[in-house]
Amino acid sequence: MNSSDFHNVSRLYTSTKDVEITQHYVANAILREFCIQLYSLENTLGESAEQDYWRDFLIPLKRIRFGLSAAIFTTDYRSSRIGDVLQGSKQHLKHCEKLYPNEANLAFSVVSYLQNVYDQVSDDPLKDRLYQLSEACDSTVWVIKESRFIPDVELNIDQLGLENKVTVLHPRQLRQLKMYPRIIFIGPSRWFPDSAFTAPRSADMHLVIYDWISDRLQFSNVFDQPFKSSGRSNKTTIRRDKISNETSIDPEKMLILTNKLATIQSKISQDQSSDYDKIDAVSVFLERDWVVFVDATENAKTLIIDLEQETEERIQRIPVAEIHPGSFILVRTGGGADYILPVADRILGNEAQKARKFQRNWKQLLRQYVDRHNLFETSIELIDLGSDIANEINLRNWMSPRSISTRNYKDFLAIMSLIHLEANAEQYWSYMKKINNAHRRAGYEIRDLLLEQVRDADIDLLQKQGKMDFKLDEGDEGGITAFRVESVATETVAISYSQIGQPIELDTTVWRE
Amino acid sequence: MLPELYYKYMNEPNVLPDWAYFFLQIGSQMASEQIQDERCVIAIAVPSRHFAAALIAFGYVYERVRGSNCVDQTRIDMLLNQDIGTPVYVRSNDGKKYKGTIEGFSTMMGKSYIDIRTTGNQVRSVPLESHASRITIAERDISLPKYKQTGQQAEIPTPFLNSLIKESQIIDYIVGSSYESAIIGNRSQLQQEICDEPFYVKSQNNRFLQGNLQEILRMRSFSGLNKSYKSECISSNSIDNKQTDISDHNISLVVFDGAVGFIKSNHLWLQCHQIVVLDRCERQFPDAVQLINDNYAYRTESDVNLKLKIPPHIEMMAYRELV
Repeated sequence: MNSSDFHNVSRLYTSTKDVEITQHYVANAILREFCIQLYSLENTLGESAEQDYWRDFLIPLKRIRFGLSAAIFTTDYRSSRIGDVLQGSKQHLKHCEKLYPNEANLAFSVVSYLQNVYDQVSDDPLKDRLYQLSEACDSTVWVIKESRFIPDVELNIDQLGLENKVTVLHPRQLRQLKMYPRIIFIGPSRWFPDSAFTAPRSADMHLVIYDWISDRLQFSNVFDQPFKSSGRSNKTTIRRDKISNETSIDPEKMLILTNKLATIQSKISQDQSSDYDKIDAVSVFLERDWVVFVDATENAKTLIIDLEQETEERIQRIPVAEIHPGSFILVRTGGGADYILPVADRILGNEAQKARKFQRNWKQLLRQYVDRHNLFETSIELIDLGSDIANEINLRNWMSPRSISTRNYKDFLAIMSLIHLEANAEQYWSYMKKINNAHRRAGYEIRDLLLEQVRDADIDLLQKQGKMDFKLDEGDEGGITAFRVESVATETVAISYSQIGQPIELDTTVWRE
Repeated sequence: MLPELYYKYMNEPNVLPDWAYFFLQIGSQMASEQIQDERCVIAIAVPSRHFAAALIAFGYVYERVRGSNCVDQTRIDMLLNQDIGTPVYVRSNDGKKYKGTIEGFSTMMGKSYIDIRTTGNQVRSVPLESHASRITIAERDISLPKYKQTGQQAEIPTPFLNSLIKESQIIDYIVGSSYESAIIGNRSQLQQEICDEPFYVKSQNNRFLQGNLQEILRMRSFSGLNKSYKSECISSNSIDNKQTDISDHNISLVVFDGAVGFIKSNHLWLQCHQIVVLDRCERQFPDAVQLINDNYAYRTESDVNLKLKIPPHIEMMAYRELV
């Protein structure tokens, strides 16, 4: 922070005494027909929309509807994208009349309207209105709901010759202490955080919305009994273009593009791993329709970047229950799912190979024993051999490659006795302690390295792009990527431990990655 | 009455704007609120948290100390509970700091005194009622000289401070320690606002005297060891009441700078006034608002009388609750 921040705060208060927000409703009859018809189909299908057949049909169409409402794209990209979806949709409906005679007509009409959109693809009244609003102003900010659209929008800005006048931002960037002469939001107000309007960064704000999307912009007090000011309170004026009285779509419903949990379940059900290889995990949904499974077992923690924390505390290792939307989860990309492992092995040095071999060996033997005798019986035997805490859950954890070994030697000795390695127990234990120490040191090292990189990183860019790559080691083949968290599922799922920490693309028809 | 403060932009002095005075006034008006059976709770939703908590605390401490002729009974009680031999620092009228150890307690003509040994053969009796704020407990053992101490010059008041505090109070102000307020928030941001941001007052010959909020606030952890203090700043992420010597009985105002600290520790410091500053842009804003609205249900019937003109995009709620 520098001394001009007091001045910037001052500007924030003084220049937003009276705020004007204008809602511009843009007409596009052809696109409107497609969007409304698609909406009708969804309503007609009801719960059936979640069936595989309809889900596969609807998702690309919903993406087009959302994408064209939330950003502007080049004519070439629109043409290419809509063309692909058209082709795919027509193919998909080949047998629709036989399978779903009641819904077929409606489904065909959706595709027919999309064909009309494709035929008029160069018409873009949204772009025209944005140009109109921006050309006259020296400096404008366009706020785009999703960071994945930003590069396309910036390309359009260059093509329109507005590169010196327009900057594109992600909504989270509006939290900073910076004022703008004019802000234009692309899409309805409910796609953006309340603070964009209640803590405005401009006195001149605009919303550009297609006229089939409903948008009620209204402010209410946050406190139950606000204090009455002795002076004039600030004024926020909302102006609206003429609103169409025809059917309109709830903007929140446009955001639900896929039932992500259902998609997850579908992917999990394809997993053929043995039950012993599965652990409890929570699905963390990332921007750009990715998901990562995070270990939800007791005491498990995951690495995140929280930009709201003090600089030195931005890298945190937190339990999964504390992961929140807006923070950035750190995920290994390339080189294996575990970012600790290669660093720990480097710390182990010459002993790494032998230590890991010992680790794999006793776990493999234990697992083989469990395969022969089942979890329950094995835990009983371990208790008989001196373990205090052997039970099915702990046993499962001990077998997992994600755990290093038992916490106490007593339990470890019991395992060694069970698998006839009692004579080497101390030697094995010594290696497990070395691995444990190496992992702990690796954790600190990674945290310090990341902290340094985050300190030097362009935080503004991170907020804008929603993701950023980091490098851990000179010799490291993979890296770590920070992805912005969109939401966190409340239920746990049982998945193979090999899937923990691996980002998975939910939908390959995603509109711009 | 609050001083007229200035800030500079592009080297030009500007009087502090209305929004800044709003925060100063909240603190200043709260300073006259007594805590008996009830305390005040004020929640403020702001478009940006910057400087809000710091200015509130400044207004509060400034008003408290300026109008203070009160006996700091809390401090007196704390000193009376110390063991014989406890190492202390005593600040004298000449602004110097002397080492000592507590020798005992005595009473003369109805007044309480604390007896402090300052050299091998010298014991001073210091009146508790008027000088309690000048005595601080040393953080480590002290070795006393055999014959004489020259004393350590504690601090020379700056022109900025001299213009804000009356001459008759200035020595007491810089040598006496007490906890008037505490701010819970992002320490590094608060430190920048309180210690690094320059502010100015106009002198009688129209010169602009530079200083910062710390000169009044005197946050203990920003002052350095063994300097006098008036407030404390505690990080939201490391609130542990046991680790500080700030308890309910020490302070009369706690300012939560942000939702995180408030949500984590609003159950602490229940016997002092509470002001909660919530940035509308912060992630946990809705959770903190919910908590405040829930707590509002337990208010008493008494009003909080504040005369304030609320700036744009700020919303405030004020009520009283039983301590």
